[in-house]
Amino acid sequence: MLANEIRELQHKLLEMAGLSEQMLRQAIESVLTRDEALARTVIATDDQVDQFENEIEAACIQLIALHQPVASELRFLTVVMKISHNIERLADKSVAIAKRSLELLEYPPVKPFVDLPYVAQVIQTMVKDVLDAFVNRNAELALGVRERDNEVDDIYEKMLHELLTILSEHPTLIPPGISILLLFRHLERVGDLAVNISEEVYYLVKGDIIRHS
Amino acid sequence: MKTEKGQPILNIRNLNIWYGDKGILSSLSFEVQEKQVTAFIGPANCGKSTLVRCFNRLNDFTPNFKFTGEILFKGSSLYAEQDATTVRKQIGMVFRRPTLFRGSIHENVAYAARISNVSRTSELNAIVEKNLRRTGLWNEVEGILDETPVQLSTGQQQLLCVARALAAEPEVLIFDEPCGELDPIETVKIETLMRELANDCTLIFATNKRRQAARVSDVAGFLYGGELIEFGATEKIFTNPQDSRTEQYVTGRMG
Repeated sequence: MLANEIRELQHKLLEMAGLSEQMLRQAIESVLTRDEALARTVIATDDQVDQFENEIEAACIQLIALHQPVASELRFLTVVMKISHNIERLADKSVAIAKRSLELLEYPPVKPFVDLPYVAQVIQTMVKDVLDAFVNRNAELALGVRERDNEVDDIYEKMLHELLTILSEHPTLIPPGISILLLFRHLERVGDLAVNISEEVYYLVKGDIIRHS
Repeated sequence: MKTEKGQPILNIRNLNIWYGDKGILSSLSFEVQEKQVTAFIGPANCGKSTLVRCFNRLNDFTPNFKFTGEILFKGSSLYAEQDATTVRKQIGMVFRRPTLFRGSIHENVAYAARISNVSRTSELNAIVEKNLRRTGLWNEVEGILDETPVQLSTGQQQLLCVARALAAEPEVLIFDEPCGELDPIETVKIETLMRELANDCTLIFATNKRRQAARVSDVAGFLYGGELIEFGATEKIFTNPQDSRTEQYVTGRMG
């Protein structure tokens, strides 16, 4: 009955999440390797994620209407709606990164991205861990993701500072510099979305709302 | 829904109940707050009817009934009072099946006032009208007050029983499966009425309809095998129960 539907819904959400993780990985790679085709693949995949979000939302509403769930089942359905929304936004950020990647192709490389591979790795691990936390109903792992975002914020500030120093010394680099600045910002936002998801996972497991705390 | 803590009107301390040698309820302790709706849920034979009937002293005549522990009503033992009728004026009861008294609709509602020695017709009429209005039944029965209530629908008969209980101006009103015999429309009427009555009165009800407890109560207790497994704010019981047995019951996987 509802238990089966919930299993199917979780499966669908993880499919969506897998697609979104792949988009993030490809988007970052397209920046680092200046791969136009890969950037375009990311942009083209976005419709599928949007479709997933609609289907998951419709399924949740239907299950709430038909089964009037309570307790952990109610928490699961409300949390799945919010997580799928955050995953959809995560895919949007990957598309935005891919677009910056295409813009950067119009300019010669500005400088080697020193911190970018590292911060990208941290962020991708946050996304992976928060999804693992969801699958395994692991509130502690979810809290860990939330805390790791501080490191992302610190690196973001550092990268921003370095970039502004370069741009102030070389004003001709401002046009590609703006794309890089936005790129950093998109990545930092992906970290925030992983944090949003971690807070939903915590609520699912513990029943306590920790957002804004 | 009201969740702020009012004054405890009933205080149950370490209550144990037996029918003969058979233990029905064990070690129950909780407080019922004034002007809140408290629901007891649980599968069949978990002891919820036995519990709510205690508050109206209805188990007094049950053979082999015995209990230990305390049931305090406004600080005094409910069972210290010799006359159960005195208790029942303050703590009214509505049953699963409409329990009509003999006589007309008017006589049913006027019953409590009569045994309290109200005899003036105008006063009795006012009491009857007031309480039929409170239950929303007045417009439907105004023209047939002197007729037998047998002709009323089951839902109307149940509302009449609520009006009769209210006419005693009770401080607490107990409902034992109040919608057990009613269709969904009649159920909505009773549930809506229960919420309204909680403005003036403390309500306690036993139900095996989980959703009804979720819709109507401020506080809910889950009884299982004679034990009070969990007791707390209804929204907590239905969103984040602390005991796995409560979780199983409210999600419909048990009972």
